[in-house]
Amino acid sequence: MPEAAGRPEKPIHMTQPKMQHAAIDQYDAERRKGVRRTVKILVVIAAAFFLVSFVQIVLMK
Amino acid sequence: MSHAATHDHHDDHHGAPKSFFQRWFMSTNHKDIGTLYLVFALVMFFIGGSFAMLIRAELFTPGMQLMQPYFFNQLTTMHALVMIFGAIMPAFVGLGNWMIPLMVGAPDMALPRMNNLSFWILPFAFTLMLSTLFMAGGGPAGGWTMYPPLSLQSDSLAYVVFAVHLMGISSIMGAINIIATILNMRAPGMELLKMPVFVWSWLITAFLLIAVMPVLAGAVTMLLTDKYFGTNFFNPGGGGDPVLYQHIFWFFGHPEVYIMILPAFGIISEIIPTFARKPIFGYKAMVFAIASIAFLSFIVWAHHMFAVGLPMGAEIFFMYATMLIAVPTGVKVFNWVSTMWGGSMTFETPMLFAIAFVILFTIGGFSGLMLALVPADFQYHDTYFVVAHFHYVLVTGALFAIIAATYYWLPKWSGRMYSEFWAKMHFWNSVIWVNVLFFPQHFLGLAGMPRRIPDYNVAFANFNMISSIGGFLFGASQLIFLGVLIHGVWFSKKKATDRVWEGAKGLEWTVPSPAPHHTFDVPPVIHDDELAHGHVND
Ligand code: HEM
Ligand SMILES: [Cu+2]
Repeated sequence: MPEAAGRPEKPIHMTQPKMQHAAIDQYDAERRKGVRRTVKILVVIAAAFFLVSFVQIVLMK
Repeated sequence: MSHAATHDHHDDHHGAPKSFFQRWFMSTNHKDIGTLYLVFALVMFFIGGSFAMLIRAELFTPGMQLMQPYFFNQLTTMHALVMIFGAIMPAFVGLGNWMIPLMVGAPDMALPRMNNLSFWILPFAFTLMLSTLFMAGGGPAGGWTMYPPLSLQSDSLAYVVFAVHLMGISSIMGAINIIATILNMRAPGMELLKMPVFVWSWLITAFLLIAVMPVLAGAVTMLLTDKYFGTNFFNPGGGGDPVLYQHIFWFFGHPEVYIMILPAFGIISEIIPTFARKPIFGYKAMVFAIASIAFLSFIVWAHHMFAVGLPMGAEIFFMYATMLIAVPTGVKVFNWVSTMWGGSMTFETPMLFAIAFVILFTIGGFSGLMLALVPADFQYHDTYFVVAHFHYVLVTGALFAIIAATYYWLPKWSGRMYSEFWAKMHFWNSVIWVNVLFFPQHFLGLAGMPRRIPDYNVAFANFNMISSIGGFLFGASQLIFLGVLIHGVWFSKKKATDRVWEGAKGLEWTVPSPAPHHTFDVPPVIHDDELAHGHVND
C-alpha cells in the first residue's frame, strides 16, 4: 500500500485498505464544513425546545 | 504532502501523551474520553448502588430501623438521579465515544475539544449534587421527578437545579457531537443504511436528547424561579398549576426512558449476530423500529399522569398511543429471536447477558403494557408494581446491555481477554439475584404497597425480605464484575486477537487489540462483506 511505503517505520493501524491521499484534503475540508452546518442546526433545535417549554406553560394557562 | 497535513497536529501519533494530567484531563481523544465516561459511570453505579443497599436494608423488615424517614426519601431521590444521569447515560455516552468512530471509520469525534468539556462537566455536577447530602438541610428528597410543591420545600433545590443544568448541557453537547460525527465523519462507502445498528440507535437517541434535555432545563428553571424569584408557574395561589410541571417534566421524562434503552437495543443488535454467526435479521426493520419508537416516545408522556385527573379524551389517547409502542418493540424482539434462530450459537458472557436482556426486558415491556391501561393504572400507579416495571427495563434492560457491551468490547479496549469463568459467575449471580430482587415487587405492588416509603404494613413483610436478600446478593455480585474488569484490563495474561470473537463483523474488529490511540487517520475503504449485517440490499 502506498502509505506504508511512505512511512515504513510506522505500524498500519488496520487491515482494511485505505483511501488515496490525494482525496483526503478535500475530504477533510468537506467534513469540516458539514460539521459546522450540523452543529448550527442542532443548536437552533435545542434552543427552540428550551423556549417551547416556557411558551407551553404560558399558552396552557 | 497531504498525508502529513492530516497528522501534524497530533501530539504523539502512536501512544498516548506522556503525562497523566495531559492524557486524562486535557484529552481530546475519543478513546480516552470514552474510558473516562465509562469509569465515571462505574463509580456512580457503585455510589448509586450503595444508596440502594441502604434502601433495601431499611425495607428488610416492617417498622423503622436504620434511618429517619426524611433521609430515606433523600436516598430514593439520589439513587434515581445518580443511576439515571450518572451511571446509565454516561455509560452509553462512553460506549458511543469509544465505538462510533471505530464503527464508521472516523479518526475521532467531530468536535474533540467539546467532547472533553462534555465529560469534565459531569464530575462537577455530581460533586455539587452529592454534596447536598452533607449539608444542614440535606439533599433533595422529593423524588427524581422533582414535582412541586414538594420539591420546592427542600433547601437543596438550587444545587440540584444547577447540577441538572450542568448534566443537561453535557448531554446536549455530547448529543451534538455524536450527530455531527455520524453525519459527517463516516468513511467513504459507509452509507447511512450500512452503519451498524448501534450507530443508528445512537444517532436517533442523540436527537431525542437534543429535543428533551432543554425541556428538562426549562422545567427545573421554573422551579428555581418559583422558589427564589417570586414567579408562580406551578403555584395555584398565584394562578399557576402544579400539573403543568408534570406535563413538562414527562414530555422530557418519557423520551428520557427511551434515551436509556435505545442504545441498549443497538448493543444487543451487535452482540446477537456475532454469537449466532448470522447477520441481523431484518436490518432495515430494526432501524425503522428504533426510529418509530423514538417518534412515539413524544406522544405518550401523560401515561405517567393518568391518576392526576386528565380529561377522558386525553386518557384514552395516551393509553392507545402508549400501547402502540409495543408494535415496534415487538418487531425488535422478534428480529433478535429470528437472528438466533438456526444460528450456530455460542454462549460467551456478552451473549448470555444479551439473551437475558431479550427475555427480561420483555417482562418489563409487558408490565409496561399493564400500566398503560388507564383503569388498571389507577390501581397500580405509585405502587411497587411501577418500581418492578422500571427496574426490569432499566436494570435487566439498560444495565445488562451496558454490561454485555463491556464484556464484548473490553478485549478490544485493553487487548486482554477477561476471565470467562468469573464473568459467567458474574452473569449467573446477577441474573438469579436480580429476579429475586425485583420479581416479588410485582406482587407487592399488586397488593397495594406504595413506592417511596420507609415503612409498610406487616402484610408485605415476606416479599420485602425476599426482595432485600436478592438486593444484597445482586449488589455483592457486582463486586465480581469489578474484579473481572480489573483483571481483564491490567492483569490477564491472555492476549486478545484483533477479531476477538470468531463471528464478529464490523470495522472496529479490523483494528488491532488493544485499539491504538489513533485509528482511521486515513479513511478506510469499506467492503460490504466486512459489515455486521451482511448485504443490506439482498
Ligand atoms: C413497552 C413499553 C413501555 C410501556 C408501555 C411503559 C409504560 C409505563 C407506564 C404506563 C408507566 C407509568 C406507571 C405509573 O406511574 O403509574 C411507566 C413508568 C415508568 N417506565 Fe415504562 N413503559 C415502557 C417501557 C419502558 C422503558 C423501555 C423504560 C426505560 C428504559 C421505562 C421506564 C419507566 C420508568 C423509569 C417509569 C417510572 C417513572 C417514575 O414514575 O418514576 N419504561 N411505564
Ligand atoms: Cu413513560
